Amino acid sequence: MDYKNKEMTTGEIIYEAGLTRRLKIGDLPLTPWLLNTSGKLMIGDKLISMVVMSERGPINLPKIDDIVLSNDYLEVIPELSVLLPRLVPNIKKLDASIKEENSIYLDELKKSTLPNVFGVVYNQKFSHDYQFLFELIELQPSFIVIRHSQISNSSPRQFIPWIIDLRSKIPPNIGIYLSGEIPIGFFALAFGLGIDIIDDYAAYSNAFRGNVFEDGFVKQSSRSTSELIKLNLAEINRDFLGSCLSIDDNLLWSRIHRDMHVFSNVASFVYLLGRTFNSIINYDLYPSNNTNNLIFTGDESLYHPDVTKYRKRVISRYVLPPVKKLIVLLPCSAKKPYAESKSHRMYRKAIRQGAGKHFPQVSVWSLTSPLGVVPQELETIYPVKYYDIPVTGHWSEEETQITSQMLIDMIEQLPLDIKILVHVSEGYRGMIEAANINNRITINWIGNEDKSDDALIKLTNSVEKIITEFDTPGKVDKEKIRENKEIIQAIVKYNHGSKCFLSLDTIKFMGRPPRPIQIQKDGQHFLTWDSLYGKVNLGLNACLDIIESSLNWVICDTDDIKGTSLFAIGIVNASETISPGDEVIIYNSTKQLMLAVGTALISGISMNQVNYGIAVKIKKKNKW
Amino acid sequence: MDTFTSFIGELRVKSNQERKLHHDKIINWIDEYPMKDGKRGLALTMILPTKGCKYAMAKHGGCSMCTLPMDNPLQPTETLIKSLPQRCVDIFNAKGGKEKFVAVKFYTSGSFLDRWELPIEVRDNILRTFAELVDEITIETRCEFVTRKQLTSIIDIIPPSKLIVAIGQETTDDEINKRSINKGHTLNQFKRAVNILRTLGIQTKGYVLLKPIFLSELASVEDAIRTIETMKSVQIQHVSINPAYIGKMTLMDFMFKYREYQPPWLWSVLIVTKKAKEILGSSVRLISDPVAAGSERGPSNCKECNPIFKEALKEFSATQDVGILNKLACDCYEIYKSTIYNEILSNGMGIDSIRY
Repeated sequence: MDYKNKEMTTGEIIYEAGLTRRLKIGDLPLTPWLLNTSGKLMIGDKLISMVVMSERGPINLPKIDDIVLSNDYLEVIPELSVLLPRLVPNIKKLDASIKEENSIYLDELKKSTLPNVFGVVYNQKFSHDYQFLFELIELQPSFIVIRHSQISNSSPRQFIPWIIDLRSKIPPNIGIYLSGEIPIGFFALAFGLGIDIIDDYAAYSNAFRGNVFEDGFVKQSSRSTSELIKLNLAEINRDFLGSCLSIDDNLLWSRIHRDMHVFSNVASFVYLLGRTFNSIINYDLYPSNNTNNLIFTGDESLYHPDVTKYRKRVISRYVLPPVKKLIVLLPCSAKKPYAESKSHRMYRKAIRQGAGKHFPQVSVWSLTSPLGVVPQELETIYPVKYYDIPVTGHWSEEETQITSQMLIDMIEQLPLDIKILVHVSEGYRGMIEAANINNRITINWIGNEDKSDDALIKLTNSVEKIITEFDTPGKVDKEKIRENKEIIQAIVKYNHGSKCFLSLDTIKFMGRPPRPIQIQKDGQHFLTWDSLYGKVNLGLNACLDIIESSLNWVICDTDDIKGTSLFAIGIVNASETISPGDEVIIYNSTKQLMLAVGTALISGISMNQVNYGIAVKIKKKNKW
Repeated sequence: MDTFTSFIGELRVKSNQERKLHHDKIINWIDEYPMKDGKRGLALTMILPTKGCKYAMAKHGGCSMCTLPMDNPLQPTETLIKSLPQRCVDIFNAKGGKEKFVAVKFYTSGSFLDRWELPIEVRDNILRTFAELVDEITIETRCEFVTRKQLTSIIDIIPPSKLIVAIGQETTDDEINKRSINKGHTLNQFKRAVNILRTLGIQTKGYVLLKPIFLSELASVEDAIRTIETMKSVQIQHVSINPAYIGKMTLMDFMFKYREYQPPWLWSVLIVTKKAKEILGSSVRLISDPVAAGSERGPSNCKECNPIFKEALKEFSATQDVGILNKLACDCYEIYKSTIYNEILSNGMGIDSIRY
């Protein structure tokens, strides 16, 4: 049988954020799924049949009492089935018999006419190498059933590398069903780790132990078993629904961060993910262009994937404009963007007074937690404009360490003649001292009153003192235009890579906020800039400027793009640094012709792995 | 660990070292006994301290769930063995004698018919004595000791209708037997033994193991029901459903500790028992009185219904009245149904124990 030609059995990625996906499988609801396990395995009102693939072919599991394991069938395996291996090892020859059982399973799967939606079982206990998994994947199952011990009790040190490795081996359009006990509080975490399907077994197993799920907590209770089951099921459904909504609103990690304050093992997962396993997480999978607000309340927010992703991108993609000679490090403000806050207006005035005609040579970077360092050009992008933190004036050791490290990484990339002045309160002392390698930073402690007249005069004087060393800048644009161009260049670098540079000499700004500003060059549309939300959409001419240097390239198998969607099947190759939401440039198969520019709906890694679904929404097509 | 059998063998060596070496007691207990005519009587069960099962002592370590030799002396003296018939009679009389008991059961933690455990004269002595005292005597043996020659000589001593020979076939599925239990009996061997016993007019009893290792709860229920159907077809007169319990120092014990195995639910026992009665009808006596019922290491449900189920199964075994079983209900049935899936999806291995 040619598997490629059968109906689509795998899912279609509708939404992707890191390891979390919403998949469309058949005509079923979008994943994640919460399966019902009482007497029948159900997704919504549909029965999932259990079929054992034995050497005698598929076997109907018996109906015992009111336990219905399968839709009756004779020859055809019912739609929506889990196809189980017999997998009874032989006591006398364990390894050999398991190999034998696995090959019977595969043979039977290959021989059978498989339904459009089906799951297979991969039990790692029985298969130490991945070859068997890859052979199962060849069959294009809709989902794969995986076993692991209770996530609530298991060691995150083992679980995290295990699931991340597994998820990277299973294509993103195939769901993972982690069967077994997943209690409330762990749903969001499970989805965050790339699990797509879970079941409600925990409601029952906890009722058995006298545990009740109530109001987000697990407690001991003396209620009757039937009452416990009822309450636990209700709470499981509530937590599940909440977790699904969080995915849609890109608040899944906020939910996980909430759960970690109730369930200690969730906290272990969050900290280990951020601290120990940070390097095995691919942050390119996380979307780059959200518009949701983020609430950060504790040190865990330092490890929010969107925050980590921001830090990594800024370090690797931010380039100080060549005109700049002095960087002033300032505290952040509660109002976003910072530049519009009262304090930053005052700082700006003080800096301008000190700098005089050298003002274009000064750059402002804000120091903030959990993001770290925010150059002024990037104050409007996600997540910089979109977060809230409790303001206390205190920095935890962890915040200090992470922010100073980011500062070190950014300062290291600066030319040696760039001066740095810091104008912050004593609370930042630890961080600044840690980052002040080679004494490059001129430090201005301003006590606790950073907006006092004394402090501002000190800032003016310090700037003035440093700036006198510099040559006068050459011809520059008017202040507003110069700053707008700097923002556009920085956002394009943040989106497309540090080497990208647009030639903006002759551009014209059309329109004014709140509407996106249309930018024209030589009488033609060049790009659109949403100045309030930090978004730049390039026109085709602007794309030509960065065509050599953009990291966001997609190569497709045609010379002529039709319609407004590029499907995954048409993609020959895509840059694996593309994140969902990134602006991408689409080329023909020889990469000779630029065909279009669009927005990636899924990551570049996923584009290279899947054959179904829309990968890029086309914004502008090249007309020949 | 390449083979489990070598592992069972190692466990057996260790457990032999831990055996109660000087223990020579005849452990005994009394329980209710369903009689041929449907009435209930009492039976005395005695466990003879022989060397234990020869099969379990072999290199492959015997059956994956069997712990019985643990309770036997490793090297019983000749005097001890020779004293057994008299000591059995003494216990029998002390516990109430022939006025009280309609039947006796002799277990040896091995095979009563194995001459390595019980020399012929001791065996015959016991049978001869008790044939006069009770209506029915139950003995246990492995298939291979059921030979026409051996049994013909026995029925010279005891009327065949008084003797019940119980065989621990456990399952009639040879694959499961080979893969999970390591019993070493095939269905054909079992059929041969039952055939010999039947033609000699001796009653036979089949033991059915509910939930060997490597099987999920549902697969084990299905296997037990299939086994009972097969036993019915070979015309067996007694069936005993034996749900697994965790015996010390067994492979099952080892897997239990690593949470790879969970003893069956009493719900499964109930389902199998009801189905078995339906299959077997009234002509076959069905015993379903689980060992260690309701305990952590035995078949169990929830705390509330464990004692009720245990009592009802005992009562059913004595009366054969299926009405007792039909009345059983508990909210934990919903929990049972949910665990069924958990186990199917993991093939019974690697389940999260619900009890922790």
